[in-house]
Amino acid sequence: MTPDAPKLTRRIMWVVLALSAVLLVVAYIGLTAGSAGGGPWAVIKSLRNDSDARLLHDIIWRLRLPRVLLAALLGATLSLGGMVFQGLLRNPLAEPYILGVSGGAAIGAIVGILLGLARFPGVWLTAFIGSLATLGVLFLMSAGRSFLRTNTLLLSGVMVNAFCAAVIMFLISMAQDSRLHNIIFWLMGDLAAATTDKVGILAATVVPCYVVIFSRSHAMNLMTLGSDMAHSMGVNIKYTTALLLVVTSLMVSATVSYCGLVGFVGLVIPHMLRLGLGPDHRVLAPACILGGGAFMVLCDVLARTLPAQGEIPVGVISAMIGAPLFIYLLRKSG
Amino acid sequence: MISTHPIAIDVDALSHAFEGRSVLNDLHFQVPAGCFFTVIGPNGSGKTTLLKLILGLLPLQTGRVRILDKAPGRYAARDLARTMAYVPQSVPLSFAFSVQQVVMMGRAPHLGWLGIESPHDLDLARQAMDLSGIGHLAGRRLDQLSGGEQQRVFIARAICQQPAILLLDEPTAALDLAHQVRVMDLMERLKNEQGITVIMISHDLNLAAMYADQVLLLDQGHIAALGPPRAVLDFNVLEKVYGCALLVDKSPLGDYPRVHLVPGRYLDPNRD
Repeated sequence: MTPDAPKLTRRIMWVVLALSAVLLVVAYIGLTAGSAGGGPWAVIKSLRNDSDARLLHDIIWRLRLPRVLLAALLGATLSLGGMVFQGLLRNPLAEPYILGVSGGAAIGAIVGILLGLARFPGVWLTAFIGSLATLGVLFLMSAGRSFLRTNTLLLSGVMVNAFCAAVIMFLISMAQDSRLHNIIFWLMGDLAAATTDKVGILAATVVPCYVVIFSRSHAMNLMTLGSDMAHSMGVNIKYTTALLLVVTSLMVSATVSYCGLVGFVGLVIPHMLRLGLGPDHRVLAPACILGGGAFMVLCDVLARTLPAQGEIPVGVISAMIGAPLFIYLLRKSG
Repeated sequence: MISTHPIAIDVDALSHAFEGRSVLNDLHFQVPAGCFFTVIGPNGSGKTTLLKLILGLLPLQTGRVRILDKAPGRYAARDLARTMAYVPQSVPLSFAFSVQQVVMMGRAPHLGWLGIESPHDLDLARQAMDLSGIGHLAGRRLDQLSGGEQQRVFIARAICQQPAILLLDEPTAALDLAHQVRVMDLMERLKNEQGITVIMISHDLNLAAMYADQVLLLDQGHIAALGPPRAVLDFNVLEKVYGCALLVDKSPLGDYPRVHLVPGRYLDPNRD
């Protein structure tokens, strides 16, 4: 006899509570860590009403908090985006970054930056157009065969990504010196320029996307059994696929336009959570949001504190942790 | 959702072609509600295409299909899923869902967007698993089961969907003898006790002879014969359609035909 499966809603609640606690702890570390120091009690000290506290208050609440929030949104979006692509393509190697969708967004964003557009809505929009364009190319390349036939699409994606990388290099080589440093640092994943405004705009873009994806999480469960079976259980395959791809591209390109290209988070976090929590997307979606957020905040803390001077781009840290971790997980699960 | 309409499936002037090659050619037939209806025919005779057209998995090109007197396109996706359930030949296994989770997915068309289940749905899933003889596997991972066990999981999932019409594409192909007869008995029981219309593609003519009320024999997209097993499983018709020598006699178990293969004798003019 097998024990009763835990009730789904209770299960989602426990996962959300546990991972929220992790995210809060990591966020607290993120608020206290940094070259300006402050120690573990800095957050509490900053709330005191004296002259010492005023500087600390500004550092923590006006510099570090937006940065922690931006990192959390970035990690959450990329993890959730990875989960969606893996679920739709039924392949644990799928991810917006690997499929070139992030690369397309980056091309769009660089074009926007070179044109001198504002980060919002100009660059944000060119990035979205770029990601939709790569999606379109991907579908044209795999058209004629079955919709989302996974291996063909994945290989096409790798090629599209390589092409995007070449275009990015080309655009960088053509850029004027004054903008070069900006572009390169942004491209590697830069959270230093976080402000409350930016975080607000990004949150207003990505949070509704999270809601849409969560509302389709059970349809994604059904679609893992193949589109014929899912259709026979009442899922509108084309509509659901298109909705999920467009919404994912929207939120991923929004983070790309603010934070550059950050890879491997979308692979590692969903994969790790799937190993621990099982494949049910209704549990995985909130887990990816909170767990991915926590992972990226942690990466950002390392990016800020590891070097004696300055900082490492967070994309470098996340790839350095993420790539070996993913290979380890893949070997363990395979 | 058992309808009172007397005709479960009505197929009228149905033709279908893939890239100019005709697969189905002007089919006319009806499946009465509560019928055990078996579709037989050689490889490539159009059986799966027919099933997919009925299910709405392929777009209709010419002709008409009506499910309980309504075109599939007139149903909302969820309503169609409450009417018809489908067990395909093969299912991709990409993520490690448990048996119970997969069976529970059959409840999706009856539940909200997130598919949050009530104790009633859990009961139905457990009943469906017991009926298919996989109750003891409920907590196991689907990808760790044998092909035959997986097939029974998908049958349980389809039962859990509580359809009026159940369509199965070679459900017994991967099963050993005991499980073949169990699945066929289960289908007969669903038909008799719940009035479910069963439409099954099969390569096993003897199973079709034993269980089916009606047999549809397809040959290169045409209807070669349609009727009760006694009428359709005639050796003249079968030899011509299958292209090999056959012996048909009466089963010692009851009043239905029994088909034997004869080794080494092909009627296909391209061979020998």
